[in-house]
Parts: sequence; C-alpha cells; structure tokens
Amino acid sequence: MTAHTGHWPLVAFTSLAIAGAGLVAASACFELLYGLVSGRLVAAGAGLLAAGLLVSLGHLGRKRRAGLAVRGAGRSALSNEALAAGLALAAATLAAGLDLAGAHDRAVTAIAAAVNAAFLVSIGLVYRIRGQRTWRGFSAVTPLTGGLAFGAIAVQTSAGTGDVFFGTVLFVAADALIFSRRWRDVAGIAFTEATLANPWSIHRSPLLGARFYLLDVIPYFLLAVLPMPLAVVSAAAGLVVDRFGFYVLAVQHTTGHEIAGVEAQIAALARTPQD
Amino acid sequence: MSGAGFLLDLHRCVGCGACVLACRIENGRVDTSAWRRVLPLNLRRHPAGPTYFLSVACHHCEDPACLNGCPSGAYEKRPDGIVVHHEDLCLGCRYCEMTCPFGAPAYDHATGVMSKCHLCAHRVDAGRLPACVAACPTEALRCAAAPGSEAHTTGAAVLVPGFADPAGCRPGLRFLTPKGARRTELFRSLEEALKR
Repeated sequence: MTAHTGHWPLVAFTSLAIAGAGLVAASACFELLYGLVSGRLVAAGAGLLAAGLLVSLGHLGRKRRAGLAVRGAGRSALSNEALAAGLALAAATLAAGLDLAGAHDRAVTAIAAAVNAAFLVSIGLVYRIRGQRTWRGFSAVTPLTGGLAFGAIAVQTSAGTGDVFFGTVLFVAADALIFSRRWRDVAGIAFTEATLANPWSIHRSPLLGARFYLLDVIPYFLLAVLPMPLAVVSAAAGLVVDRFGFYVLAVQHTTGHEIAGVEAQIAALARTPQD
Repeated sequence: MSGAGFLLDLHRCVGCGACVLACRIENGRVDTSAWRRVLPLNLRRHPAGPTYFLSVACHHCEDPACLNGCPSGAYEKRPDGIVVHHEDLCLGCRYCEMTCPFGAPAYDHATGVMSKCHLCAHRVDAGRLPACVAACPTEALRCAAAPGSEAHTTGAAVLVPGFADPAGCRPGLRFLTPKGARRTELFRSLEEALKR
C-alpha cells in the first residue's frame, strides 16, 4: 500500500467495524458467562458496525457499485468479508432490537456473537496476502483479539463493578499475547531502501508500542484500579492506532522493491574489499 | 505456462522505452499511469553485478492474484491465457493493487476504477502483435506464445535477480539471458552473492 492508496477510509472502517463487532461478540460472551444482559451495548455495537460500513464506501472509486462486492463470495476474501459484515450487522440489529423491545432471546444473542466473531476473522483473512511482509502470521488474528479486548473493556466499564472479570483478563491477555507476536514479526523485518522510504517504518516500534499500551495495558490497569470510561477511550484509541499502524507499515512486494533490494546488494558488494 | 505472456531477452533490451510509449499510445494512456514500465537494474554499472532492463507490465499469470482476490469478478482469464479486466464491473476498491506482487493493476483517479495491460487483446484477436512487442526495435520483447518463441527459450532463466514471484502466481513472463561465457560473466557473481 502506498500513500496514494488513500488508506484513511480503511483505517476508519476497520476501526469502527472491529470495535462494533467486538462489542457485540463480547457482550454476548459476558451474558453467557456472567448473566450481564445489555441490549444497549449490542445496539451500540451494531451502530458502530453500521457506521463502519458506511465509511467503507469512502475508499471505493465507484460507490454505486458497492453491491457487486459480494459477487466473489467463496473465492475472494474481500467478498467473504463483505458478506460477513452484512450478516453481522443484521444479527446484531436483531439481537439488540429484541432486547430493547423486551423480548430478549439468548439464542439470538449467541448467534449474533458467533456471526460477529466470524466477521472479525474475515477481516483478518482479507489481509493475509502473499507477498505482504508485515501482514503475515499473527496479523490475521489481531482484528478478532483486538475487537474482543475492546468489547470486554467496554462491557466491564459498563458493568461498573469493582472487580475485574476473568473474561476481561482473558480477552485482554489473549490480545496482548497475539499482538506481541505481531510486534516481534514486524520489528524483525530488516530495513531496506524500500522500507526506509516510508517514514513510519522508521518509527514502527513506538507505533506498535503505542497500540499495545493503549489497547491492552492502560485500560487493564485503569479497570483494575479505578473503573472509569477513560479505559474505553484508551482502548478505542488503541484500536485506531492498531489499524493506522497496520496500513502504514505495510511492506508490499513489488518488482520495483525487489530490484531496489538487488541494487543495494550489488552496491554493498562493490564496497566490500576483495580478498 | 498458459500461453499468454511475454518473453524478454535481457541481452537485447537497451531500455529505450519504446514499448512504454507504444503501450501508452495504443491504449490512450498518455496522461495517466502507464501499464508498462522499464525498470533498470544496476544503472550505475557496479562491476559486482550485471546491468539490465526489465520491461514489465501485467504478466498474465497462470494463477492470477488479482483475479482470485477481486470481489466483483472484474477480472477474467480468457481461454488463450490473457487476463483481462472489465472496467464496468470494477468497484475501485484497489484490492488487486494490494494482492498483485508485481504492481501491475493501476488505479485511474479520473474514472475511479483499476486498469491494466490486456496484452492488446484487440490486436491479438485481429492476428496482430501487442503494441509493445511490435514497437520493440531490438526484438527484445516478444510474445511468449508467438510462433518460434519457444525456440529461443533454451538456456533461459525463468526468474532472474530482481524478479521474484513471492505469491506463487506463476507469471507468464520468461527471460532470455545471455548464454555461455557472457552469461557466466554477467550473472554468476550476482547469483552467488545473492545466495550468501
């Protein structure tokens, strides 16, 4: 991805969608685990998801053709994601609607959670692209873990209890573990002429670190010490930084980059004194 | 190999850019991004490595990442192997730009859709050579499926330094590299150095 690709709509879309779907999925999990029924949180999740889908139109060159995006379902990861997004929104809206109408249905909430979790997985799979060096391995899982961590923090804050639920600890810890692996993978990529041309690559560790602390560390300690909405604000900021970092640190293989790499090696050989 | 694609003689290509110009004129892409590019390698002529020019466009891969990833089915692989893009089905989501490891699809800001080399399918259908191939003054660039092309592939390297296929798309671009002593002189040092 280059600066010309215009990744801001994608950052906004994925941030909103991951937060929304994560909130729906985590709300249902907490309902099953602790009996915390909150139709308003599920409705908020559905609202975030709907906003994300609207924003996603911003990166399309031909917005009126958005409906064609599901034509490749089963073949294209992007089509699968679009289809999953529609289903996730429908399920979340139904679950929230039933709850707010006083006809809460546990099975519908569970289905909404499963579909929203599947949507989070589908977001990760879209970016599992061969040749994209910073999107390998654990990167495909971070939308799911990040969304669930954000959702758990929001549900915990909403519950307003003094104790941190084990579920929150579990989701945040899982995200911290998975993201730390991604951090290590990205930080392990050697600097080349192509990566050094991207100023964000030089600052990749502070960027990845900011995401780690904002989404996992700070909210956890805020909830443990003093439950307050600031934890949700921090986690939301962490999600935005996560998505921003995801796109700006992309290192796509192109023939041009490959040639630049070979040229750098030739230049290095030319500088090396011969024995 | 599916049949469609190009054959590039690295020993003959002088990097003149006639292929780029012909492509622009033939496809009306004078004021927008080019489908074909000429990428020089080692233009500073460091003695440690060879100098050559890679004239690249869409490689009409056997397993095209653009086609597999396109959500709207805007890409099609014709029976003759040419990968064509239907602009009327394109959303302009630019996913193909991310998935193609060769940077072939280009986004057109004016139309809001992607476009790429179609190997001058209209010319091929009329029994003519693609514009870039027809314009090449040294005959370095040829159609892979053109009669007689196979005869030139003896000793050719499928992949040369500076051209890799990380996504396993099996690109329809083949290279002819200098043979014998010349090849040894030009390529051995670099190939061995790159293996280290």
